[in-house]
Amino acid sequence: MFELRKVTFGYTEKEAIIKNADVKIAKGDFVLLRGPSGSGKTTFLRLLNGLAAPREGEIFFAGKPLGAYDLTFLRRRVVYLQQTPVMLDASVRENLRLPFSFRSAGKTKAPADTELTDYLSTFLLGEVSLEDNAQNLSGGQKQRLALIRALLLKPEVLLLDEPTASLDQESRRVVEECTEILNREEGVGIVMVSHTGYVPRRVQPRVLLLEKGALTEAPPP
Amino acid sequence: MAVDISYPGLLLSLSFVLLAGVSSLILQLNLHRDILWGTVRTVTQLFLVGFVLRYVFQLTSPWPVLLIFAGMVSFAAGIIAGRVKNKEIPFLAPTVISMLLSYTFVTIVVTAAVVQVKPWYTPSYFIPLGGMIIGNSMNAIALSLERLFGDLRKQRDTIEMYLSLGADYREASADVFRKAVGAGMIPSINSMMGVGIVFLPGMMTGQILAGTDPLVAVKYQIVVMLMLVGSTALGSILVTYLVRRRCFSADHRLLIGQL
Repeated sequence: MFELRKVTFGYTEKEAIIKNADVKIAKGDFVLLRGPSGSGKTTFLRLLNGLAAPREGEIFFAGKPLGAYDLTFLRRRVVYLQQTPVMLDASVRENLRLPFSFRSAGKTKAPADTELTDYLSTFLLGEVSLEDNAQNLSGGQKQRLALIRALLLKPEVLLLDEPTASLDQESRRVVEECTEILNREEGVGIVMVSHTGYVPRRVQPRVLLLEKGALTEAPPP
Repeated sequence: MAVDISYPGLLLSLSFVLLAGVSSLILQLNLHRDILWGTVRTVTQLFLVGFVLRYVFQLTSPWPVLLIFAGMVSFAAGIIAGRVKNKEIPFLAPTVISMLLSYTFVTIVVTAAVVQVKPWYTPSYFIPLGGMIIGNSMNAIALSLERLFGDLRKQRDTIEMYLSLGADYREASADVFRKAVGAGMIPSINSMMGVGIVFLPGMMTGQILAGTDPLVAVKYQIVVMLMLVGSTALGSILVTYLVRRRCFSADHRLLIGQL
């Protein structure tokens, strides 16, 4: 699915956050990305989503370099979820349907209210109305809403940046369960930055360790 | 015709500056050097431009007139480049292009179709009217650019949320674009509200002092106000459109505010 060949990235010419990263991520892999804070884990996800471009080396998706894709289409297949979820000053419905208003959505129909409310109740957001202003929700609610927005795109890969960081135990369990089931039953690839010492129960994850610019494979938990 | 100001009269007007300079010395404002330097520059620059204009107004071909106009635009673009705080995105070239295109168009429409001076490039009309457009719209463009760069930095997370879900750069920055263009246009729209009541525009005052019938002066002023709204709109839209493109890569990555 993804292949990184000698990828180096840095915000300035002098320093590199990621150096000579060589890694293959197969279709349907469940990858946990670990490393100390500031080690470049978020940058790694941004590289896969094409929000950042390598200074050296190349990234391939499904055998083709990222440069060969129209990234507006690819980003719907490889969805990146920011660590701090961003909601527009608009209703929950408008926020969830937002990606369906983009040119890259083509003729895909925006999901109906019933589908949206189903998702809301799956993620323990049954008390949230589609009319509510999404900006007024709590951090944890926004995080789950952002995950729903990503899932509505039916992505092939989910790049999750600490998706459970601001969730209570119950919501965290639901989100973890959901990503594991998505991976196991629908083959959705998962690359997740996770500090929390989280160990998936339903899937066998791979662990990639990013430290001092070096990306290495670590033994599974 | 206006009453000419004699040289002794002009010298007498220096007493105003003297007053300001003495006040600075007494009150220890430490402004007297700036006042002196400012006075020297005002007198020299204006006399120089006076002599240049005397020469320019005799030109009979459109090319040197347009060349002078292009020089004025480039100079204004240089001032904008110095004022707008941004080192990440090169914006001088698109600024010059937008200013040249929009201001030449508006100035030609005003001289050829509105004022109907013949020929349209008559320097005594084209240069002052063009100069007013450039001077006023320079602020509009600087405001638009400052707002564009500022908002792209401030709203980086929102823009990247759009991009990461498959938006193209236009969709991701549509709100920033609208606000940047608005920031450039609002001052000229506001000045339409206050003109004649809150302030008397300099050009109209100048024409009246030079002996023009106030109603003729008013008609010119109306044209000037309207053309400024048009030129600031055109300039702000074009410059924001072109510079925004440069803030994103061809594959829709935001290039500004990465550090």
